[in-house]
Amino acid sequence: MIPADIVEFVHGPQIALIGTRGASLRPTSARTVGLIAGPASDTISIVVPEATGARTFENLTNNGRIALIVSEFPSHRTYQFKGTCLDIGPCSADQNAVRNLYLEKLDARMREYLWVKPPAGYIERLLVDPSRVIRLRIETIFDQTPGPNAGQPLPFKPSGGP
Amino acid sequence: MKMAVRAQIPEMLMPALQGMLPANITTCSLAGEPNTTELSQVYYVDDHHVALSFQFFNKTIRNVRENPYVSVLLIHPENWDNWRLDLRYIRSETSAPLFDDMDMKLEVIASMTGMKGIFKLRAADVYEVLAIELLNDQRR
Repeated sequence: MIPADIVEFVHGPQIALIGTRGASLRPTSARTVGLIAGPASDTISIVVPEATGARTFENLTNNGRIALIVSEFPSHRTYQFKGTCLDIGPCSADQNAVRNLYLEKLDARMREYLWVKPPAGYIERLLVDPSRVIRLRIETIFDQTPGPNAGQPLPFKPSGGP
Repeated sequence: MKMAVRAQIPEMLMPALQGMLPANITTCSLAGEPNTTELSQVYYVDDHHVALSFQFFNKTIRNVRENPYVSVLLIHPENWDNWRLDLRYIRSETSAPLFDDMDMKLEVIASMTGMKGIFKLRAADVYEVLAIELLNDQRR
């Protein structure tokens, strides 16, 4: 299971990006607009807008490998989650509501802490439907906070089920 | 909706190459494992090349030495548009003028982000720009 402090961290809200790769090993970065860590499981549901996620979805259909980076500001505390895509599905009404709340909280946080503030109405611009939900089954978690421990795996053991 | 533009850095992208907001880089090992992380600096070299700050001997660097293709995500600091660059690694530079200019800018970025003493430029890695996309996911 994902450690409780990591679940809390993921729900931050934090800035998160997903990395995938295609059949030719060419990688693709994409921004996420919401994360939901499954309680008592090894999964994180990653919300990605269809408008910008086409290459990500295509890559995952090809091979399913995922790297997800989740970063907190201003602390720079950062984790990378690696694993496999279990499935990709439509964003439900409940998941959309979570996404909306996630982005609202993220917007408030960015306005408080970032020295380059987002433009007015930025979050409203991100609330573009439809989105899809990628379910990531985590295999390894890495500490990626800049500093001497960057790149070190956390003592996480997958439970073997979603 | 996305708009593909030819692989020449457009004028409208230039503010996103000032290091005001962190970028993101995804690489892939030859074994097929993607890796993604934050990137402090994407530096304009010329209309077809950028340089990325190589700060740590980490998975990103190991992957790039195996597989030269990377994907970089940038945020425009004024309108916060997202841009995605497909790049191919060409070479590393460790001397003036490119290295010195990036080193000086990295000092400024480190100071502004509370990372002074942690960020250290090891090399300026030069990449060819293969493709540029404006990820127009935002309502207008």
